[in-house]
Amino acid sequence: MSLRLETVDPAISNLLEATSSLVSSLELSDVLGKILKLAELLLEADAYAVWGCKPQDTTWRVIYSAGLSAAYVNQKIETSSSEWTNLQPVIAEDVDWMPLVRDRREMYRNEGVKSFIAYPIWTSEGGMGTVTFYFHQRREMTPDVLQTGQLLANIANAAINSAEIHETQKSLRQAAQRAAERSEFLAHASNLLASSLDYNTTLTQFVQLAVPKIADWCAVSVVQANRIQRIAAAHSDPAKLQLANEYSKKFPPNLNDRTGTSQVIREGKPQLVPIVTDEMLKQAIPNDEQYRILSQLGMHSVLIVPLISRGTTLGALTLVMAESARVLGTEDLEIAEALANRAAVAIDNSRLYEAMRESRNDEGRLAAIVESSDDAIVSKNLDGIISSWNKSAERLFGYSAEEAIGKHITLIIPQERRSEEDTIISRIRNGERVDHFETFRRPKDGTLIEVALTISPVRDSDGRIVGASKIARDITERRNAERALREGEERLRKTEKLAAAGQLAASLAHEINNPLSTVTNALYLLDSNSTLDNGARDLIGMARTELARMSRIVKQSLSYYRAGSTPKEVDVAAMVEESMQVFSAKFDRGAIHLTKRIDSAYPILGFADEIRQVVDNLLLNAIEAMPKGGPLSVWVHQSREWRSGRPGIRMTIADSGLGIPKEVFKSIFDPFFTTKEQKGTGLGLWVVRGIVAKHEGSIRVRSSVKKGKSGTVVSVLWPRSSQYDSEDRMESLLSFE
Amino acid sequence: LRVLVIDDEKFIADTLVMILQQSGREAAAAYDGPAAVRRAESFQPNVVISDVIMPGMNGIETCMNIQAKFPKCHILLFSGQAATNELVRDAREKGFAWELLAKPVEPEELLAKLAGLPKGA
Repeated sequence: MSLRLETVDPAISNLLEATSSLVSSLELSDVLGKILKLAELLLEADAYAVWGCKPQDTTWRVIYSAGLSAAYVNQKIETSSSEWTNLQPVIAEDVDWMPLVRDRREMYRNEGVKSFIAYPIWTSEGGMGTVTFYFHQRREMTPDVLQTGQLLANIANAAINSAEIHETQKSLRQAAQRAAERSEFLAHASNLLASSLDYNTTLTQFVQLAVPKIADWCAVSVVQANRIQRIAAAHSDPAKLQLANEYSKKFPPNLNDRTGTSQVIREGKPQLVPIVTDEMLKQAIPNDEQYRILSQLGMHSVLIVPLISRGTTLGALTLVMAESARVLGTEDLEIAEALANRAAVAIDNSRLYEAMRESRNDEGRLAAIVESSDDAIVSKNLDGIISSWNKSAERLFGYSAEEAIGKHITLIIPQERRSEEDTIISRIRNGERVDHFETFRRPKDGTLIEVALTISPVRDSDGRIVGASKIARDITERRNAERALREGEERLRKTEKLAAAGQLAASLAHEINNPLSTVTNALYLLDSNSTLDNGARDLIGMARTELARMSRIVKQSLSYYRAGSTPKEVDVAAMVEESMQVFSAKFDRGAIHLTKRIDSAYPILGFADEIRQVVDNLLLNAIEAMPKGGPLSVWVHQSREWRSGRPGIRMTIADSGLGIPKEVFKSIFDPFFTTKEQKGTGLGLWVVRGIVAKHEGSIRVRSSVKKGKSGTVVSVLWPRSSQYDSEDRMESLLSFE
Repeated sequence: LRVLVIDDEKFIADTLVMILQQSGREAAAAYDGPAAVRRAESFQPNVVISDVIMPGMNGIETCMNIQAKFPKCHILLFSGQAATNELVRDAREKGFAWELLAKPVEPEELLAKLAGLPKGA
């Protein structure tokens, strides 16, 4: 080339030198612009283009151009003609007369091209190309023109090649730098995540580290208790971060959401959205406010990767591009996945550690629970040797832990129940559990206690059964509690029954007493009517007697619901004497031998009629209980109430009758209860109980049906004085001794 | 002796009036509180025998009314039911210590009671 340069105009050679230095600047766009200027100046060319074809390809494209229309530049030419690739320039003085470009004449005409010269070049990638100069006017291709053209083509070729190499190198350098930065970042992030087991803290530092090197936004969410929780987020601008925090507080992600973090966590697959358009946002987020805040955050490129450890998705790492306008790509996906891996392992490790610590605490807690349990907890090996013995076991069985541990379990098993142990051990060996097995055990003091056992196999860390743990509960107490509960319920039922019966009695009293009054009056009037003959008068007398009997029954059974007057002093002893006097004929007729012991005593405050009713009812019951006669004892003396110690008069009537069968014994105080079939009202003892209660007294009944020893003893304590302030107290004060 | 019998059970009041008249006493019946108070104005009873539980004005209120006008009139209450208790206790607290008889009252007992009343009644 230097040879040819000598023949060129010195001005041109100067220009060419300037061009050379310009080319060395390696800024391709700059170089190409200058080349066009030179082409205009030296060749009087109107346009030029650099065409290129990749190796092993037949498609030619315009790579660089100047002075050409877009339509021309955008065209592709398919050609494998050797004319273009034989390393010789293609010279067309007039495109209309050039056979090689016959099929492109139309194109040239449209572009207004009349002549061109194309010089072959080689691209740095090993492809083919041309540098082509175009002329609007027919141009004669003199050797000068051709030489100058070749010169320019060479410069262009060199400039293009070196610029391309430079570009490649630059991007390679940049990529290498980015890779270095990223691996440095990864190393840093790994160290950070490993620095502490508190992943909340480390992840917060981690996301801060990622911003802005990796992305403009970085956030980590984890699944906790079936909810997605963002545990760390970072952005260089605190105001924007606050906006984002506000957003996630207002619109917390839901595991069921179809898109975004939820979808990634659910499916365990990353999601890369290189360019987030407004339309996409609007479609994904129908909520106006949510959309508003989100668009304020200005995210335009999003990458979400799942945090997966040991096959489980623990959460997601989100990278977002906003201000930097960089688009996230597959390269970012790689680094995000690498980061996600490290974060997932950190979270998983932290949780494992937490679980381990808890289980270690559990062991301590468990030991404390076992030791302080109210149930006796004993463990033994498969040979039946006791290996642990808690405080309650010491209490229940009487042996201390030192005494029991190391001994055989038969220590507490009664002789006759030794076979149970074999059954239990064989079930335990099979991995079965023995649930609520009720049996007896013998504590140190030699007595027998009733216990409920729950026995479970104990396994070592490999799952082998190595022994049994036994929980023993003393069920005597539970049985007592059950009994107390039953009794309470029964008492309640009784009270309810009594209340219902009381209501019935009250309304009965009203309904019966009123007509009784009328009939009593009417019969009295009739009886005093002098016009009646004797027969009629007899009938009326009969009616009056029967009516009086009816009134008595009503009074006897329903009387204590009667309005009471004020209590008065009552001599119980005298009253009992009096009643026995009244019943003396009955005693004689029934072959009843009365033994009485009436000690003189102080009077009590009460209602004489009612107390008399109690005495009469009890005496009548005694007489009726002894159809074949026998001894009857009546005793009245000063005494005290068994429970409260209140002073009073005790009245005891003991018959030697049939006794009250066990199955009906607890019903004797129920209203309408009777053993006398049609004879009794079934209200006698119920009324007695009511009257005793009204007097705040207590009643005790003992009975036996054993042959030769049968009989019933009823003992009533009448307190010396009572309050009589409320009938409602009746039930609560009634005591079953 | 003038006896006013008050009972919403008409038969009881009427038969009792007949028994009293037969025994030679002046007697009149009233079947509710207000009627009894009105009757008392003209009849001016020495003794009132009244039921306690009556619809409307009960026996206690009725007798308080009559007692206010006739302080010397002797009041006897009779009742066949337990609900009476509270009413009688209320009356007692207000200073009216009236005797309460239980229904059915045997006519002989009632006449004996009336005979035993102090002369001024």
